[in-house]
Parts: sequence; structure tokens; C-alpha cells
Amino acid sequence: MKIKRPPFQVLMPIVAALAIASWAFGLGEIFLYLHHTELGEWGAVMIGMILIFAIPGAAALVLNKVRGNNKE
Amino acid sequence: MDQAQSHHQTVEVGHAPSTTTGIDHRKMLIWAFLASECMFFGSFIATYLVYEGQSLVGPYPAEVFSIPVTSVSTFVLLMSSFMMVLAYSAVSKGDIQGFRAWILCTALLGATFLGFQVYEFTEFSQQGLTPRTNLFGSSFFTLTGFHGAHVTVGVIWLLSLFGYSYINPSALSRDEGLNVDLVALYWHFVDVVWIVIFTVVYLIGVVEN
Repeated sequence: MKIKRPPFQVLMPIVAALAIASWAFGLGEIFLYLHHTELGEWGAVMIGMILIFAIPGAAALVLNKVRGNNKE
Repeated sequence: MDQAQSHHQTVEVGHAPSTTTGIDHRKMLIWAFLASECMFFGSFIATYLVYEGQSLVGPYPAEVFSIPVTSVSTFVLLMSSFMMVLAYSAVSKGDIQGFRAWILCTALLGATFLGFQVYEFTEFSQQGLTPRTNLFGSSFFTLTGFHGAHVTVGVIWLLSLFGYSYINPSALSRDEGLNVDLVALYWHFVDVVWIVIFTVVYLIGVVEN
């Protein structure tokens, strides 16, 4: 029996919702863990500031590398 | 009749959408939707302000709010709007790789904002503030909870566009940039609403208490 794959319009939002839930709840748990260490609320502040610069920085690096590979 | 035909021909030559308004129906729809959203959030913010300082029992805003944490989460959302601009700029230039990189950044920063909200809500509940505690809790969680739900919908939309760029790249070409334009309008709106919430609820809430 052939299993029919759900269409992209259905599959993608479900995958996206699961990805958001895992990222947001995972990050929330890390913040809560840091909150109960000596860092307190500053742990969340530090991780947040790192992510603000790390995410676009990583994207720019990957983009440059991909464009470099395409030129070659 | 001649005038109408002439107008129709002008519209065709200018490549504008052949609608009675001259604006694509989807764009008109998103503006109408955002107008209704203004009223939606406006009523929640007004409700919060009406009930401000009316709670009979604590915790009160100044006891639970952490301005450094919320400032960083606000900065995360502002940065995500900047990433959205870069994604739209990339799609305008026909740069699909740039679009993919920046739209993924926007989605990740949006999800990071939601991580801050998970942390904040859990901390508040541990300090005894729930939607059932007092008027402040009810109005605060309703307002920020609905905003969080809007951010979640936005991130799902962004990630869906990211996936769609692999399945049908031509739909995100320079000429079909409207798909990105619509999500960008929604995302900036959600960002602006948060700026208002941050100012009215958090900053003024702490200063007044």
C-alpha cells in the first residue's frame, strides 16, 4: 500500500511549529537554568546579546562562503 | 467608456495589477487585516491601562518585571525586523541565497524572542503571578500572550516561505516579491506593537510603581 505524503502547505507549517516550539522552549529552559545560578537574570541577558550578534554573523559568513563557492 | 478603456490600457502598460484599486488584492487584504489588528491590540492595551493600579493583591508590575531582560528581548525583535529588511532587499535584487539566509535569521530571532517569553512567563508564575492572580495578571498575560501568538504565526509564515523558496524559487523572484512583502508588513507590524507594549506596560509600569 502506497502512503500518500501530505502536501507541502500542510507539512511545512507543522514542521515550522515543531521547530519553533523546540527552539523557544529549549532556550527558555536554558534561561531558567541560568536564572537559578549565580548569574541570575543576567544569564538570559548575556545569552540574548550573544544570539543577537551570533545569528546574523553566522548567516553572513555562510552566505559569503556559498557565494565564494558559486564563483569558483 | 473611452476613458475607462484608456485607463485600463494605461494600467496594463504600467504592469500594475488589473484590479479596481490598482493595488493587488493580497496587499489590500493585508492592510485591511493590519488595520483590524490595530483595533485588536488597541483594545487590549486600553484594557490594561484601565485596570492599571487597580489590583487589590500582588504581585505588582515593579515586583516582577525585569527591564534588562525585556530590553534584550525587545532588541532581539528589532534586530529581526532589520533581518526582514535585508531579506526583502535580497529578493528585490533577485538574490535567492541572500533571501534564504536573512529570512532564516528573522525566523530564528523571532523564535528567540519567544524563548524569552517562555522564560518570563515561567518566572512570573513561580513568583505567584498567573492570569488568575489579580487584574494586572489577567490583563498582562492576555496582552502579551496574544502578541506572542502573533509572533508564533509570523515565524511559521517565515519558515514556510524559507521552505517554499526551495520548492518553487520562481514564486520568490524579483517580479513576485509580493509574497515576501506581505510577510514583511506583518512582521514589522508585530514589532511595532511590541514597542508600544514595552513602553506602556513595562517601562511606564516600573516607573509609576
